[in-house]
Amino acid sequence: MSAALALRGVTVGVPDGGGVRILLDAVELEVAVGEVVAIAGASGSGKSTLLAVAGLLRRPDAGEVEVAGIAGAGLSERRRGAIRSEHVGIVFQSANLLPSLTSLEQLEMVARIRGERGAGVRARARKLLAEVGLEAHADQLPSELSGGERQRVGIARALMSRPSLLLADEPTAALDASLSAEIAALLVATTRERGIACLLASHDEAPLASADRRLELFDGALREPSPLRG
Amino acid sequence: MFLALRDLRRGWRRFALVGLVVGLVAMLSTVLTGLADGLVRDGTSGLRALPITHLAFAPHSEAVFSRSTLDERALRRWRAVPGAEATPIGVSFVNAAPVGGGRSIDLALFGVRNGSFLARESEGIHGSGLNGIVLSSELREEGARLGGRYRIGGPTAAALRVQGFTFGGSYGHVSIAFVPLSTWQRIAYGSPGGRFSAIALRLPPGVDVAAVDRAAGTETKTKEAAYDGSPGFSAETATMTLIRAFLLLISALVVGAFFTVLTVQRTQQIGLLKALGASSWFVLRDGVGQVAMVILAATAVGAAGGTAVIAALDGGSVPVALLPGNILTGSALLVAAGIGASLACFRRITRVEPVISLGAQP
Ligand SMILES: Nc1ncnc2c1ncn2[C@@H]1O[C@H](COP(=O)(O)OP(=O)(O)OP(=O)(O)O)[C@@H](O)[C@H]1O
Ligand SMILES: [Mg+2]
Repeated sequence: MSAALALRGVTVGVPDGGGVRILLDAVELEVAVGEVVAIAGASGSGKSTLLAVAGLLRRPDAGEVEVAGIAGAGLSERRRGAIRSEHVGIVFQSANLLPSLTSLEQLEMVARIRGERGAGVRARARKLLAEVGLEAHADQLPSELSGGERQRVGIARALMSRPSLLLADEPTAALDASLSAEIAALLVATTRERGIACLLASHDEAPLASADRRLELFDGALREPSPLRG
Repeated sequence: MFLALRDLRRGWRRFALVGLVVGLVAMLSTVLTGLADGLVRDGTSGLRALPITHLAFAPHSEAVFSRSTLDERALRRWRAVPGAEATPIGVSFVNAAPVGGGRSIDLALFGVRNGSFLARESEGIHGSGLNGIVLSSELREEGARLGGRYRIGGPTAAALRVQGFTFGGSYGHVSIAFVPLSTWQRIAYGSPGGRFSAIALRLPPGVDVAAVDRAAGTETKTKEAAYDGSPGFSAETATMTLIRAFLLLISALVVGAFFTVLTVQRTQQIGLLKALGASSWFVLRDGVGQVAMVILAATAVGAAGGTAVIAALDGGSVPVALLPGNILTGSALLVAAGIGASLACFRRITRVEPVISLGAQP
C-alpha cells in the first residue's frame, strides 16, 4: 500500500518565554491508503500542530510533508492551498460550519472554492448529505442543527472535494459519548469505503478505539500508547 | 459571491446601519449637487442665455467684465474674421431707483448695441429698437411694471422707461437688464462712445482664436469658460467641491471602518475558508463584493431620495438644478470611494492564517 500522507523529520518549534520549545521533534509518520491513524496526547502536546503540518496549513521548521505523493512543506501558501483543496478534507472540532449557509450550501461552498459550479455539484452535495444521513436537513442553517448533525455536515463537507486524505482534529470533542461513537464510526466507515487515508487527533476513547493504529504524541515524538493510560 | 449573497440575505440586519449611513450621505451629496448646480446656474443664467459662443476680454482680465475695457480697434479686428459675428457688450453692476420713490433695485446692466444680434435675439428686445431699459422678468415680482421709470446714477441722471421684460436671468446672482450701449457707456464712463467691457462673439468652428487674440489685443474665452469670471462663481464651486470631497471622505471612512470591523469579526471564518483552499483574493472578492452590493443599493436609494428633494425644491425660492450627469458622477464617486476603502483591508485578510481553523495558534 502506498502512503497517502508521509511526514519525514518534521520539526516544529514554538516561542516559549525567551526560548524555543520543540513541539514536534523530527516526527516520522506514514498513513497508508485505507488506514485510520489516531493520535492521542495531552492537551498542548502538539496534536493540532501535527495535523496542521500534515494538512499543509502550516509550514514545519524542518522536514518534509508529502500529501498524495506531492512534497508540499516548502511551497507558497497559494500552492499549498491548491493542494489542500485538491487532496485534503478537514473535519474540524465542533464542525466549524459557516453560520450563514445551509447544510447543502456548506458543501457547495467547497466546490465554489475549487471553481466548480452547476447542477452536478448540487447533486453530489445532496448525495453526500444522504450518505451521512442528513438528506432531510439539507436546507437548514447550522443554528438549526444539533451538535451531532453539525459534525455530520462537517464530515460530508470534508468529502466534497474527493480528498485522498482526511484530517480530523478532535472531531468528537463537542459531543456526548454515544454521539461520539457514532461520528467515530462514520469517519472510519467513510475512510474504508472510499479507500482514503484518515489521520485524527482526539482525547476521546471512541475515535481512538476504532482506529487501525493508535499513537501518542509525547515530548515531541510519536510513540505507541503507554499501557498505563489504556 | 456565493457566500456573500447568502450571508447578506440571511444577515442583512448587520448591514442596515452602514447602509443607512451611506444612503444618507448619498442623499446629502445629491441634494448638495442639486444646490451647487442650481447656484451656479442661477449665477450665470444671464450669461448662459446670451446667443453667443465666445467673449473677448481685455488681456489678463480673467473673464471678469469689471476688469476689462476694449475699444473699436479690437472690435474691427474681430469683425474682419470671416463668418464671425462680433458686437460690443458693456457689463456693470448698478442700482436703479424708481422715479417718484420706492425701493431701488440691483441690476447687472448689459449695454448692447441697437440692431446687433444681441439686441435682435434677446427676448423682449427684438422688434422695436432698444431705447429705454429691458428688465429681467424676475423683477416683475419686485414691482417693476412696463412703462415704469428708473434713474441709474443718482437723482440728476436721466430716467429710463421700462420698455419690456427679458428672460429671468441673473449674473453673479443679480438680475440682468439691457440698455442701449450708449446709455451704458454714459453710466459707466460718463460719456458715450468708444469703449465697452468685452466683445460678444459668435464664431464659426475652426477660427484660430489665439491668432485673432494676438492681432486684436484681446483674451477670448468660450461662453462656458467665461462663467468662471462671474462674481462668486469660483468661491461657490470651491465650497461645494470641498463639501462633497468631505462627504466622499466620510463615506470612505465609514465603509472602511465597517469593513475592517467585519473582517476582524470574520477572522475565524476567513481562516476556515483558507483551510478549505480559498485564496486571500477569493476571500477579498467575496467580502468586497458584498460591501459593494450594500453601498450600491444604499447609494441608489439615497440618490433617488436626494433627487426627489431637489425636484420638490425646483421652482421655489432656492435655486436648484437637476443635472442627471452630475448626480450620477457624484454617486459613482461615492460607490468607488467605499469600494476603494474596503480594498484597503486586503493586507488584513492576507495575514489571516488558515491554521487558526484548527484552534491551534498560527
Ligand atoms: N505559533 C505559536 N506560538 C506560540 N505557541 C504556540 C504556537 N503554536 C502552538 N503553540 C503552542 O504549542 C502547544 C501545542 O498546541 P496544539 O494546539 O498543537 O496542542 P494540542 O495537542 O492540539 O492541544 P489540545 O489537545 O488542547 O487541542 C500549545 O501549548 C500552544 O500554545
Ligand atoms: Mg488541538
